[in-house]
Amino acid sequence: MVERSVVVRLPLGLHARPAAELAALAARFTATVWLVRDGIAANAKSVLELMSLAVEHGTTVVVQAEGEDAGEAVLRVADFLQRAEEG
Amino acid sequence: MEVDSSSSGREGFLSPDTIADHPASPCNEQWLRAIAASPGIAIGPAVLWLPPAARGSDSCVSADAEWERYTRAVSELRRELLSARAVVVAEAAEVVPIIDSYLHLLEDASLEERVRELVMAGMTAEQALQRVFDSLIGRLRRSADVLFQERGNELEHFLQWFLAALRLPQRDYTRTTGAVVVAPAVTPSEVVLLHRAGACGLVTAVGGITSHTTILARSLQLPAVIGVRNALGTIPEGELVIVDGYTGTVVVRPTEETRRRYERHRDSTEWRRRVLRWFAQLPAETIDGRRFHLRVNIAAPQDVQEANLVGAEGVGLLRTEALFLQLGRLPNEEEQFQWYQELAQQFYPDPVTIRLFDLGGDKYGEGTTERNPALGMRGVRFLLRHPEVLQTQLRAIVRVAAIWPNIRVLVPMVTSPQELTAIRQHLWRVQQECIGNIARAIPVGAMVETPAAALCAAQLAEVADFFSIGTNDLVQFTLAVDREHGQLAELFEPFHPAVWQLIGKVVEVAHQRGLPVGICGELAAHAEATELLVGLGVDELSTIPAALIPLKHRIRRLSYAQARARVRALTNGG
Repeated sequence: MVERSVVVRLPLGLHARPAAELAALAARFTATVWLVRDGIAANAKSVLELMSLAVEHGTTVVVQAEGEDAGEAVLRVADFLQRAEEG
Repeated sequence: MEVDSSSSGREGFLSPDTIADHPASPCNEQWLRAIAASPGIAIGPAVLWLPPAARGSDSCVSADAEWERYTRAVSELRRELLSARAVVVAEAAEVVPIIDSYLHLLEDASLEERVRELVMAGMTAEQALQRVFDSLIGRLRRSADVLFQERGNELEHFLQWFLAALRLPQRDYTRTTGAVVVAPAVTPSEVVLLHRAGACGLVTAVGGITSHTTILARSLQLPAVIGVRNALGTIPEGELVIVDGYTGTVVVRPTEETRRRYERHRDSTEWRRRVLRWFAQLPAETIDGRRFHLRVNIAAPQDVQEANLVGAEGVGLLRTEALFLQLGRLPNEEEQFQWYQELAQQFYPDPVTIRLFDLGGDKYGEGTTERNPALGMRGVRFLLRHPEVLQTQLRAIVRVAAIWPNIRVLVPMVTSPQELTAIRQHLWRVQQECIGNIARAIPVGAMVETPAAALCAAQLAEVADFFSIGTNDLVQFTLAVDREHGQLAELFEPFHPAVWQLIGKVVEVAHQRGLPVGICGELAAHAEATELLVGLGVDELSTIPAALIPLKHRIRRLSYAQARARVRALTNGG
C-alpha cells in the first residue's frame, strides 16, 4: 500500500467536473485507488463516491493505492489534487 | 379561460356580501411570484408533471428478478440521456457536460456494485438505491460549501428520477406539447425532452437557482419560474397559465386583457432577443482586431438578467451601496454573501468587481450634515473610520472569493496610496481570520475619480492591481462643478481637455506598469467618447446594461490604428 497526504488546491474543490476528471485519471491504473477524508474512504474510480466526499478547497486528504502501479497512481492523483487551476 | 358568471346571483335570497365573494366573478386570475430562473414569456395550458406513484412493492419476488428490474431501468435512463444529449449537441452544446455528468453517474463504477450487493441481500431495487444515495447525499448536505450542498440536491433529483424510472419505465412526453409544465422538480434530461416535445414553459415547486436544470432551461430558452411553493396545489391541470421568466411571475387563469398584454410582450421580446442573442456573442473588437472587455455596472437585481442578455463579460462596477439603499439599513454579512456569490456564479469565469460601499455619513444616518458632502466623509474615508462596516463587507467578499476566483475589490474615493494600503491590510487580516494561510490573493483596484488619484497614478500603481476611472466624479472634481447644479450644467463638460489629460495620464501609467485600466462612468457609454477611449487603449469599458450593445456596435466599426492616430494628433496639438 502506497499513501500520501495532500492539501487540495483545486479552486472550487473536488466538485462535479474535477471529480469526473479524477475518476478518469484513476481508471487508467490497474491499482485500486482510494481517497480518504476524515476516515471515510472513496473509490477514486467512482465519480459518485469522489463527489460525495465533499472535498472543499483547502481540505487535507490521503491518497492510497494498492496494486502493481500504485506508486505512479498516488503520484498522479496527488498532482491532480494540488493543481491550482482547473483545465 | 372563459368563466361563466351567469350562475352567480340567481338565488335572490343570498346576501349581497355572499354574491360579492362568489368565486365565479369574471376576474379571478391569480398572480404567483417566485424565482425567475430562465427569461421569456410562455402562455399555455398547465400539464401537471408528477413522478409516478410508488408501486408499493416493499418485498421483492426474487433477488434475480429485482436485479433485472434495476438493470432495465438503467438502460432506459441511459437511452433517455443519450437522446437528450443528441438534442443539446445541436442546440446548446455548452450544456453537453451536464448530460455527460449524469451519464457518468449512471455508469458509475461503484454504484452498480453497491446496489447489487444490497439487492442480493434481499432488498428491493428501490430500497437499495435509497440506501446507497442516503449515505452519499448526507455528507454533501452537511458540507459548509454551498456548491456541495447544491450537488447534494442534484443527487437527490437524480435519485428521484431513478426511482421514477423503476416504477414506470417510459413517460409520455407528447402530452406536454404547447403546454406549461408544472412539476415538483425536473431533472436535466427531463428539461431537454420536455423542450423537444414542445413544452413552452416550466414551473417548479423546488428552488435552487444554481441547479443544472436552470442552466439547461436558460440555454434552451425555455421560460421558467422556480420555487413556486404549492404550485401543484394552486394550478389545476388544463388551466391557462402565463409564465413570465423575466420577473418570476406565474399568472393562473389570466383575464383576456392580461393574456393579450403578455402575448404582445412575448412577441416583441422574442424578436428582440433573437437579434440580441446574435449580437451579444460577437466580440467587442475593432475592424483591425483590437479587443476590448465590455462589462456592466450593476445596482439592482434586474440588471443581472439584462447583463446576460447583452453578453456582458463580467461586472465592471457593482454598486454595493444600492443594497443599503434598497434595505434602508446596512446589509448583514449573510445578505452580502448571498448577493456577491450569486453574481460571481452568474458571471464566472468573467470578473465581478465589487466596489466597497461608497456611503456618506448622511446616508449612514449619523445625523451629521456636511456642508459639502461630495468632498466629505464618503468612500474609503468613511470605511476606514467605520471598521465594523468595512470588515463585515470584507468578510462576505473573502468567503465568496474562497469559492469563486473571479472576484475583484474596488476602493472608492481614493486620494492617496496609503488609503489603498490600509484597505489591503484590513483585507489581509480578514482573510487570515476566515481562511488562514491558504487564502489566495484577491485583486484590489483603485477607483480613480479624484484629480489627486489621477496625478499620483504612478504611486497608486505600486499598491493597486488595477485601475477603474470613475468619470462622473472625476469631471466634477477636475472642473470644480457640482454635477447636480442646475444652472451650471453647461460647465459640466466631460470633453474638457483637463479631464482627458488626466484620463490619458492614468492609462499611460497603468500600461507602463502592466495594470489593466477601465472606465466605469457615464463617459464609457457616451457615443462621442468611444473613439477616444479606443484610441487611448483603455482595456475595459463598463456601462449600464442598456448601453452596452450600442457601445459594442460603435467599437466594431472603428479602426484602432486610426483612433490611435487621432488621439495622438489631439495630444500633440495641445
